[in-house]
Amino acid sequence: MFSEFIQNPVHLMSFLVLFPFFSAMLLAWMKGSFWQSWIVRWSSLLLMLTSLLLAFQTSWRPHLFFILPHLHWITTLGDLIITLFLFWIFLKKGTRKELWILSLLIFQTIILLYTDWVLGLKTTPFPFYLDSFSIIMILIIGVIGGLICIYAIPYMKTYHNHHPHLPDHRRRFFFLFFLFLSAMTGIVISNDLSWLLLFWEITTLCCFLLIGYADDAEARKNAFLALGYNLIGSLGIVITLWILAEMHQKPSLTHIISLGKLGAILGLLAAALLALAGLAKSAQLPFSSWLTGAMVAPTPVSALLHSSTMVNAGVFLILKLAPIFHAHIALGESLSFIGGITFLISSIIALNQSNIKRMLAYSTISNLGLIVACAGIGTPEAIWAAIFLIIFHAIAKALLFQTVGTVEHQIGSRDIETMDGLWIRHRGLTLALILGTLGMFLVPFGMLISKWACLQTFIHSSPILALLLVFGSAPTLFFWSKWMGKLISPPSTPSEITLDSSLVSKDTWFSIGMLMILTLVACFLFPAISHFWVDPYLGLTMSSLGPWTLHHPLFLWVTLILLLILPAGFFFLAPSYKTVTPYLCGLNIPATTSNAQFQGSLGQIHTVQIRNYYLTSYFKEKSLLKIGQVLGIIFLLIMILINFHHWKLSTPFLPPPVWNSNSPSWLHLGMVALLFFISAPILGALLTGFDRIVTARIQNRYGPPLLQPFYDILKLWNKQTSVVNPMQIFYVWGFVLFMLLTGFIFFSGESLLLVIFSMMLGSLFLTLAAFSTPSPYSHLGAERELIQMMAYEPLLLLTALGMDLSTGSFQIQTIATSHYPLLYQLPGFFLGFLMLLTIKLRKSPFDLSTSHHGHQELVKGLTTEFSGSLLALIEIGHWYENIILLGILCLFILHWPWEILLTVLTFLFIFEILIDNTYARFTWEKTLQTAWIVAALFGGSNLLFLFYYHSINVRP
Amino acid sequence: MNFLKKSPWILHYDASSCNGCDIEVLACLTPIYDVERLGIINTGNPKHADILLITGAINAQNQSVVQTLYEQMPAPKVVVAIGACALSGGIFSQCYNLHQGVDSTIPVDIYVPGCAARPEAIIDGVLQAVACFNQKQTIRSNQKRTSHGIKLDSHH
Repeated sequence: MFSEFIQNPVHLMSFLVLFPFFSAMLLAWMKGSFWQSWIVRWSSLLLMLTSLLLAFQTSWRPHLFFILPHLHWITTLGDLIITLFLFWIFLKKGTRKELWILSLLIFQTIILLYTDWVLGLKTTPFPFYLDSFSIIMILIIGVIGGLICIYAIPYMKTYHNHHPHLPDHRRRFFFLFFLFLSAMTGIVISNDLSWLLLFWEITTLCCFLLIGYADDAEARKNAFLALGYNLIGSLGIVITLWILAEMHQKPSLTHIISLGKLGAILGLLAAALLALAGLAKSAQLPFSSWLTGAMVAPTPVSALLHSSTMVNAGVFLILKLAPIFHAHIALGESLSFIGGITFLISSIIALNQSNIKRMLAYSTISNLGLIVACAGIGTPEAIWAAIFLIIFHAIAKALLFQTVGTVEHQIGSRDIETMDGLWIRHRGLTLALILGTLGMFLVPFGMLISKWACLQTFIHSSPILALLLVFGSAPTLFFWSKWMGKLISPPSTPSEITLDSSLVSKDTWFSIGMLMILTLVACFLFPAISHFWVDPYLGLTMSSLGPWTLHHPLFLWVTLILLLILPAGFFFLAPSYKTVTPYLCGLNIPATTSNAQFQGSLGQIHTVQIRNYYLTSYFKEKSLLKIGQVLGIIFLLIMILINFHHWKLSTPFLPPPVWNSNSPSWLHLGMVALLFFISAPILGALLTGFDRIVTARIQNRYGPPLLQPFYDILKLWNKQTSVVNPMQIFYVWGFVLFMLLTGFIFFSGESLLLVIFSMMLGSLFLTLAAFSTPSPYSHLGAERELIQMMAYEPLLLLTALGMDLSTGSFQIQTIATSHYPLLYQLPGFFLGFLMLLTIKLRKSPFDLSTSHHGHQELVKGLTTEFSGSLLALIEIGHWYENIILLGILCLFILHWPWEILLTVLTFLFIFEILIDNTYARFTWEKTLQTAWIVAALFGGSNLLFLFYYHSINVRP
Repeated sequence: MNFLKKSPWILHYDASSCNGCDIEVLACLTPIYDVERLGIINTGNPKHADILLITGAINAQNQSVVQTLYEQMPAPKVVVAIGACALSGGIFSQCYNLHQGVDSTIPVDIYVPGCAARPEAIIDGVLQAVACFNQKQTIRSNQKRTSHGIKLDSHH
């Protein structure tokens, strides 16, 4: 009986919907906190195990439909109960301002009742289905949702201790949590739209009640806002039901998709209206403010809304409809523009946030925007990327929210500025935060794998979306890194040094620990996830498979393993060093070494205050949000109205690129690595020596000998290494190792995108090295370095995209063997790259973070706190970096004879030196502005030209 | 080979100089003297520097500053006192707030006299300071051999 039960997916499925519902009822009924936590804990565990079981049971048969007895009356009854309940809430708590929500509710109910009772809906033969995508969603809901429930037990206990004035509604809270999970599972398996609507409304209701948990004025306002926006969304579903009933069509998702693929206006309109519902649910641009408002709720609610439920329902529905968007470019493009604009604008707004929860919220919105953009494009690669974005985002965001919530209870603040020195105050939690952050934007981790796939897809379907993506991901890099910098930097006042780690309970550790493991495991196992669940879904819906380049993740694994080995190596092979105080112009007060204090000119003692850049004078949240909302509404209207003009555009799609599948041998790779390892520093040093001589001659001096950089390095290597914080050594080694790895990837002919991502990882290590000291000069240098990275990242990515458009591949091997010099097709990118080179070689006017000419404290910035062998290592790492960049520059002109190539390179290098010596240093605002304008103007126009050129002349 | 000879990096500190010697120090960097041809760089950062150039006498306010900067320089390091004031307090030596020459506060290796010291003399002083490094390097490597712990304390 039992074995029969667990072998039948339909039983397991019904269990997953009904069991959380049952637990919810039990929790509503049960009194006493012991029984409450007992039920929550075991129900969550059972939920996690069942969803895993279901996933393994069905991995071999990816698609199931199942029939239910005719229970149509349940959906009508359920909808009515929800409506009546909302009416009741309005009478109790609503204000005049929220009348529009009430009228929306009435309007919606009237249409629904008319559809149901007057027109009469047709019955769907299969009201529920189960495919691989649903199973992925169920895994996310079950495992991550379950972990969040467990986390909520100790959190809510502390929450009520901290807020004694609030009435304790924990019974209602946990009831809503489990009801939420039940309804979410319902959404991902409903084929019948009326069932979908019922579950959809339940999630809206749960979300509304959970946001309003604190029941003060602010909570109420934001809860009603969330309700209002989500009701606009569900109006989309209601109208779809109504239209389908008018036309005597079956209200099922599969039917709509098949209608839409055929190009019937009915199908397209239904797709647009359902997408509207999805957009509202996943907080896309005109609707985004409900999710940021939802931050007033206790943190487990945010974790639940952002990772496993609510917003995922929206993107799930939109992704389901992706085959329609794929078939109808105009509809799909307008949807993906909403996503793209949301991605760009909300990641820029996230720069402004010093409240960590708001920053996380904007990051969620921007990532969902990316998923929507992928769905709008709707190619198999795009859907592959979108599904992985959902998976990785859910894991990383759950981890981040939970840890942030725990930290907030410990330090009593959500302000990023108060989190400095967390690494010293609480190792475990900081490790969790850093892992979550790495998971959000760095190379071997999940989100970046998906972003990589997105870039590969966008460049072949919509260049403007590619531009939005490129410019949107640069701020992401900045705000995550500066937060990480804050976490690892020493605390500014000594009183904050210790935190009581016994206050973090076992349940919290279990949940956070599991999510940390999941973050790592998902990175190692993503090819397996792709093979067992994502590819079957793509095969089913698009009769195609995911992007093949990402199925050989050798270098990703190498990076990940290196990242794991590096700390171990650091602790086992601890180098010798001397600890000194940070540089404060010699004004340090000797007694205080861990935090920076200095004596002012009148004898008073000052503590160094280091705040991050928030770029508020440059990007303004309010005005950007307004622009975004207007654009969002415009594209939303276009998306819906465009269907009345049923456009049939022939799609200018490029043929899929042919990937070079023969992998180079190990011996060859080893040779390449060794050659780069030895020759790059030599070449880099000679170039620097040449640079210094040319500079001297320009200034009418004689200058140092050519081999001077070698002397400098060898001298530094033999000097004593003094550090302020021993972690500096670790980060500097990280920088050099990842630059080495980057060069290895580059010269073994791997993907150019991977080279760029890996280079970013290396540069990040350097900034972290500077952040890990309490010196204000070093911090300022690190922040400026991050701004520089934000400035040049679009240029770098655009170069890769341009090369891909021109040669059909990101593989450096293919790019290098193209039939013509790429310069002829990519002059704009070439100019942009020269600008990037000026920034990267740390040449004036862009030598903000640290300069070779610096004779002042501020100008040495990044490298202020390094001495001896560490300074030598930074210089060597910089040489590796320069050689890689020159290598990329060579790719542009590789087809010319070598004499000309060498002459051109020499000329360009001297040109860079000339610029270095003739320009005054820019401010960071100007640097950012110039780099982005150059990227948008030269890179963007070249990209657009190339794209349309290729879509007219199909590439040979 | 000792590469310190080939690349002596400098930190210049103006204790309470009349700016005469400071201008001469900066003159060394100009195209006429061009000290970079000898590998000399003015770093402006104690953690990067090998040689501490001090102009002017030590007074009550900057004594601790000079000590801290000297502390923060990684070994091996040498100190060059430049000009009459740095040597002995010079014409200011009778001032109420003065601690006399630089060697009242930190050990000085090379003394460059003059009021103001000429650039040629300063460059010569730096090159003589470089010669001191050999001796200091030997002391340091002896020290290294005797200590096995992680932390190496300052050598003096």
